[in-house]
Amino acid sequence: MSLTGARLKVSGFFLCLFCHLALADTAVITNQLAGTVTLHNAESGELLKRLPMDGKPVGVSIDQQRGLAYISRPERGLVSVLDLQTREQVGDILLKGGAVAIALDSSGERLAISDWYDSALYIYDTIGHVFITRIPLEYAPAGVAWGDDALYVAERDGDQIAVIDTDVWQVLKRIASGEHPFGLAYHASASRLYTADVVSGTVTVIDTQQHRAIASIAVDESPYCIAVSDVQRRIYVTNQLEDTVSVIDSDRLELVDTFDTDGYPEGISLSADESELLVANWGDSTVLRLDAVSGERLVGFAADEGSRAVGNFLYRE
Amino acid sequence: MKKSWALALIAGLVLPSLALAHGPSRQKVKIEREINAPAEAVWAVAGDFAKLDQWLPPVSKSEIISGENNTAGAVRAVTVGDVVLEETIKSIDNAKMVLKYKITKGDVNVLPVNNYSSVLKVAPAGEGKSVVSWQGAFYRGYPNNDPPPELNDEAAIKAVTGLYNLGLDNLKAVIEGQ
Repeated sequence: MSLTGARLKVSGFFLCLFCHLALADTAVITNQLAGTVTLHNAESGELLKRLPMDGKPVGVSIDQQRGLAYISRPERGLVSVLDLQTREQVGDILLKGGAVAIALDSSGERLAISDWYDSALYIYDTIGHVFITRIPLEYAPAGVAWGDDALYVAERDGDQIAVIDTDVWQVLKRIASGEHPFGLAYHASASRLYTADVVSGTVTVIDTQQHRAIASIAVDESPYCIAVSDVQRRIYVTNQLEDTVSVIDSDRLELVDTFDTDGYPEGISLSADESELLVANWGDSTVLRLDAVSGERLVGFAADEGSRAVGNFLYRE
Repeated sequence: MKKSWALALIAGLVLPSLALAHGPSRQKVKIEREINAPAEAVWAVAGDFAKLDQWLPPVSKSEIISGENNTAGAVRAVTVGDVVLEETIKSIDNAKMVLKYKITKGDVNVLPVNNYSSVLKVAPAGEGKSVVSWQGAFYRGYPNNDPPPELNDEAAIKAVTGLYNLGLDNLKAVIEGQ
């Protein structure tokens, strides 16, 4: 075992000298209608592996450190765990209802599961493989994001965000957002939470220290998912019914650009250096790589039917 | 069955936000048909927003009630039986022959769907031939859990698939008969 390990380490070192050529991120794409997860070379789009995953798979959350991907399968009432090194399914988390949005904390040790059917947020201990707590919510929970000492959950049908204290696992407060918030993104360096408000077509900016909304920015129709870049100083939002990504200046909190995508864009992730965006397009079942500054299409590749990839779906090797 | 429909409609009236609510899975139907006519001839009919009653059998009347025909934001009133639905153009590209629109005032008794949007495209397919593709994205007619069978995912998919097949078959017949 140790001899094999040593050999692998040596060849890994040599490969790294040609890092940009030999290694690339892996895009983990959930294909809702096909009932599969496809793993792609994020640079070329080459299909690396297709895994059968029925139950209308949607959400992805990646544990960079351990090389794992968590996949939500709402209509099976499961979250499945994939090993991204072996590219095999290694486990399932059985839920009471079924989840769409899931998110790991930065340590990878706790998975927040937004159980839409059970109207509750669950916290799962990924090391001990047990549920830590269940927090009942007023409305069917949608997107979820970890902050600093707090966890945020979109209570979609209540047009509000529930702020959960992660020491005592209780709802601390509720903050009004726009109409039908779905995707959330926490901006750590600014202590802000951004919500994609599907029905009002806005992004609400919440100051997480003051616990209130400080801005509402009009974007295109049906915004769903958000990615935030400190390198670019931009907030990117996919607009499902417009086939665009809205680009917001995160300092001025103003819309500054719009990028074209394929049909029904949903999941959005940034490359490691934040110079590129990847967008999954449910309508055309494609994934696009866009230049994060110009919006230029660099690569477009086919995934399986109904590709969504809601969450952080890029795995850096 | 009628009782549960009535409950669904009443719930929609009492709590307006629920009428916009939906289950977790958006559905997709995409149907294509080859037509023995040049793309421009097909687009002249299928891409004319006001002309739906000329090729979609269940529709007895279609007329523009707001905005200008074939421009973004135009609204058409679509009569099916004694019900009038409304649809709005999201975008229209005459050069690429792509029409994107959505139902803005629907009726689950006519089409058991919610949040329905559609893309209709015409493309050339060789000498004197073209292909029409009609794609719909929608949620089921009943927005919450445990839908009655006539308003569940399968019913929505079946209804839209049936409508698209019927419509494209008739579009082909209308155009090829000209």
